[in-house]
Amino acid sequence: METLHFFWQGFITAAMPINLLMLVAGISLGMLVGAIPGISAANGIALMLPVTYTFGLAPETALILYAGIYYGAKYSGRISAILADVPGDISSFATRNEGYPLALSGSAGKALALTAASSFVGGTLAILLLTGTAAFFADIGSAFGPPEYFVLIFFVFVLILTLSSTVFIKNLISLCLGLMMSVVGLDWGTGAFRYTSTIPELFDGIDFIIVVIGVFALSEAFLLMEKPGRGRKETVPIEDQVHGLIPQYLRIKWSCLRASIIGLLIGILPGAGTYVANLAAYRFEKKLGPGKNETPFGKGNIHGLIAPEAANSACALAAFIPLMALGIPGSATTAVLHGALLQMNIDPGPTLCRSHPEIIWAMIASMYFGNLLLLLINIKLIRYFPRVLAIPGWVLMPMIVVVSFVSVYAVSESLVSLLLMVLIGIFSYGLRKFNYPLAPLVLGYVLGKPFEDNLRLALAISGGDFAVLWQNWITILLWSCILFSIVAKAVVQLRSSSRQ
Amino acid sequence: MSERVFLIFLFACGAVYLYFGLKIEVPFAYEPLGPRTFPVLLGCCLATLSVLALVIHPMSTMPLKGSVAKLGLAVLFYLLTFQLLGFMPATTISTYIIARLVGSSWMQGLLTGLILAIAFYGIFHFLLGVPLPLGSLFHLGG
Repeated sequence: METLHFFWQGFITAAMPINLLMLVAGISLGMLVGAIPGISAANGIALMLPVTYTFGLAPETALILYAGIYYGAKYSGRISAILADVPGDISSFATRNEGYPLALSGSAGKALALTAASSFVGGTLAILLLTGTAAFFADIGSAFGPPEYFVLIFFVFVLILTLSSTVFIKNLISLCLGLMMSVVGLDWGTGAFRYTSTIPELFDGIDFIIVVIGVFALSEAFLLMEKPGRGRKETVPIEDQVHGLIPQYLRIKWSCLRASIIGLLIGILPGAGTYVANLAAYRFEKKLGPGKNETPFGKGNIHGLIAPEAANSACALAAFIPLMALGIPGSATTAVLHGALLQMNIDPGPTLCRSHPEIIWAMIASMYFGNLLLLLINIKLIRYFPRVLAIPGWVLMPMIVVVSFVSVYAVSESLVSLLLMVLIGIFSYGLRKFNYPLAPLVLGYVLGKPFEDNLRLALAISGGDFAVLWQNWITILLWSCILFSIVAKAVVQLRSSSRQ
Repeated sequence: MSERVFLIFLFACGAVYLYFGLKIEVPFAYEPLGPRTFPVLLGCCLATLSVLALVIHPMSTMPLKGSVAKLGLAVLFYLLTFQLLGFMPATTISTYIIARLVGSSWMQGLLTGLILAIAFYGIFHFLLGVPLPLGSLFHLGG
């Protein structure tokens, strides 16, 4: 009953004009940054942070905006994947395998419409799951104290290290760097200054916006510089009209459902992300093989086209479950959302669902609107989006740089902050160049403070006794999960190396 | 630049981090761990990991492309002139440089620069109320 009440309240909040306006703004901006290859959802959110800051938006309004950018971008990454064989967002990587051949054969419109519909289904399933489980997680969250929270964050770190496909030690270095950045600033307990020297800009820690913009926006500009021709491939024009979408769609409903479930499962687990979901769903469909009288895979198979899109939408929205329920971001973008909450003085810990139900439910309710809106935009207005892909590099590149500078300057008017942002940007470019993943770095930076604080708090309460970290069933359960993921990773590693 | 150089740099970072971590002063300590443990551990970790990576991994090299280096210089130039020249002149010049680097004509670059500078100044100054620097060189706006 309580849930229904909150849910209804959420709908009322989400339907307020300012929230609807921000939803539309967020989704449009999300679709824009998603459609342009090289700019991702995290960049979009990072660049909007100072705007919400200076406008003084209410937390739920800002969250609706950010969430809109996030799933809008995941939704539209497929446009350039289908039309130009370049994924607009890494989460649409597998979509081009079937999408581009379909577009070449003259059914670009059909491919876009069908993927829009499957993204909608995947997304809606994830929102339903989010709605159903939010109250349940709120109860679990209230059982979390400092020791449990510490072990939980540790578990997330282990997951992001083990689930990622990049080299283990590079993951670890990246995580370590993120944690190191989180240490900077005034220590809460003792009043000791750590790594601040006499620079006042560092007393409060390295500002979140500086890190996010440096890591995502500026380093992206350097990467784009290497391949100025990227994304400038001829885009296939949309020529065909789509008729009878629903009967066509009903024929592929089972692949869509399968893929959505894969996406949900991967989304709930922190650490894997939409790229993995997208790829996994595609491989699964490919393994099942084409049906009778169907186009083979790689030539424009419909099942292979819609499955990855359903999966990545489901995954993107399911990633909100650990974020909202336990305050645990699982990917770079959700880490940015997590940090944005902190900026608004909301502690996104395990108690989030309990202490701020109105914010959570307003966001969930707005996701229903948002998803529906995305479906409409993507089916009715899709013809105008290829033009976005034609933005020339000489407009895009300076714009990224200028916006990065202005965003940082808006938050802290000092040259030191700008310098810090540039340094972090150059350093992240180096990391990216040598294939160090950035997600562990951002997660480490965002979760580093609660990680350290909760450990110290737990030990302070227990008087220095480490046994407090494995004293009740929650911590024991978490430790067994940690052990399990490490063992599983080791087994997989050994197998793959013995096979070679 | 080769990855080896990068890892040695990381190692140096870890060592410096460790050194300053050890120097953190504890005004008073009533808790078991204190503010020093975590940084010291992290510094050790990064130093060890970078040495490990140096030893066990095949190294890749990536030539630093001229265009990237030029963009880096353009960004540095923007950084240095941001407050000195003020937002609008600095943005126009830097945008022009970057646009030319990506391969625009001089007219396109100049127009992009002017439009970006004026548009962002307008948005931030009038709409969001963020005062962007007017240029300390001209003694405007401090």
